[in-house]
Amino acid sequence: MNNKINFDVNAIDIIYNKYKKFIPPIGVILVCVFLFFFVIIPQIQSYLSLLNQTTLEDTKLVNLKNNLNFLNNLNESKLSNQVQIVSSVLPLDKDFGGVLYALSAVSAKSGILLGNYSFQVGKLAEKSANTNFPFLSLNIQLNSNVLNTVKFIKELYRTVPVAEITKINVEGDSSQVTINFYYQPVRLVGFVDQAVPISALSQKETALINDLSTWNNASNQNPFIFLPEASSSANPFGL
Amino acid sequence: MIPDINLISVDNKETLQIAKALLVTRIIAIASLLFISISAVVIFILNLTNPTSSIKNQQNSVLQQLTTLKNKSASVTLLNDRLRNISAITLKRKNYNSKIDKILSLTSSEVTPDSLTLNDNKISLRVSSNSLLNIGQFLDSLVNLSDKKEVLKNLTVDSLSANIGGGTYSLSISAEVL
Repeated sequence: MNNKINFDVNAIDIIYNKYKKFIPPIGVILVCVFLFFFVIIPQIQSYLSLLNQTTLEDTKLVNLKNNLNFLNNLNESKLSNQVQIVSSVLPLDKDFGGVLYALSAVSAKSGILLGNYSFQVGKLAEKSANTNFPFLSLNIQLNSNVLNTVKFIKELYRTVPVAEITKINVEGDSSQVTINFYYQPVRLVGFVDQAVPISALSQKETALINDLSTWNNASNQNPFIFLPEASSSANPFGL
Repeated sequence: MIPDINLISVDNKETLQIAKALLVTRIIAIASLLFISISAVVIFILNLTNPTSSIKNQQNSVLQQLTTLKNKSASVTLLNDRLRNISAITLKRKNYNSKIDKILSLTSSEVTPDSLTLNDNKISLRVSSNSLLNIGQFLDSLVNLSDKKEVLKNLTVDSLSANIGGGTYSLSISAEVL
């Protein structure tokens, strides 16, 4: 038996004539396979991503509508009052005036005479190691003994702007106290995303505002309290 | 009778097989074509009916209304920002006064605090009294307070001195505040 196949032009021609009717359907199948992988699948993926985006946009729309509704129903005078309270507790910048009013208020409430004081303005970007907030440091001398100094500190902790005592040194009837008055600039002003949900104040936040409103504030203090001159050569208001 | 007469020739058998295969191939081709066409039309319709653009339009409309309330919106943002920061500061700031209060509440009316130094959680206190008994009671109370580990981490007696001329006794202690 001869197993050799003669694969010449005639053989190709015979095979072609025998199977030529298969060429169009196979061609169509190949084109369809190509279209499926390179057109249909990417289209499905793109549609799924569009669906995802639609869900996000829908959520954004719901948030915007909720925000609009919330802001429309918000009592403007109450909001303004609350903003005033929190801004005096934590000013946007170094509030020298607020600090002096705080000292006069505390001095009056605790009945202690203030001695010399000096501001330590420090580096602009300096933050407290304890709270990680920028602060204005102040050294004050008080004509008070231990008990009165403690009274002064107690009152200071309930006075605006928010402060922290870092050093106390009392010897007899003279004491020296270092106080950090905190401030915090607002970040991202003008870039507030309107779609971020705005919610009403929580019970905890409302309680905090109510507490802050009872603190000694410049707006409810007698401005005629005498303050001694600053011992520091630098004029704090000249900054 | 001859049972194995085959009226279909071998050539015809092969032609039939080829015709059958061709039919199957054509059916597959038409099915593929239909599948691709229907898929393309369905995806096109789905894309066409997607509501994203309508949602965007509604968003723009609400945003325009929100623009008129931008002052309120800014105030709310400022209020939330301040409250968050005030909360953080009041939680983290050192509240020495309650601790000093607790220590000084241990002194009786006969024991007078003369000096106090507080820096970096280290407290030094000097008290005086004309009675050594009162000084002793104050020291006992301080030791109890230190044992409770609520206010004081440790306690060291730096000195106990007597001013014979003035008739007073002085006690100096130093401690680490918790």
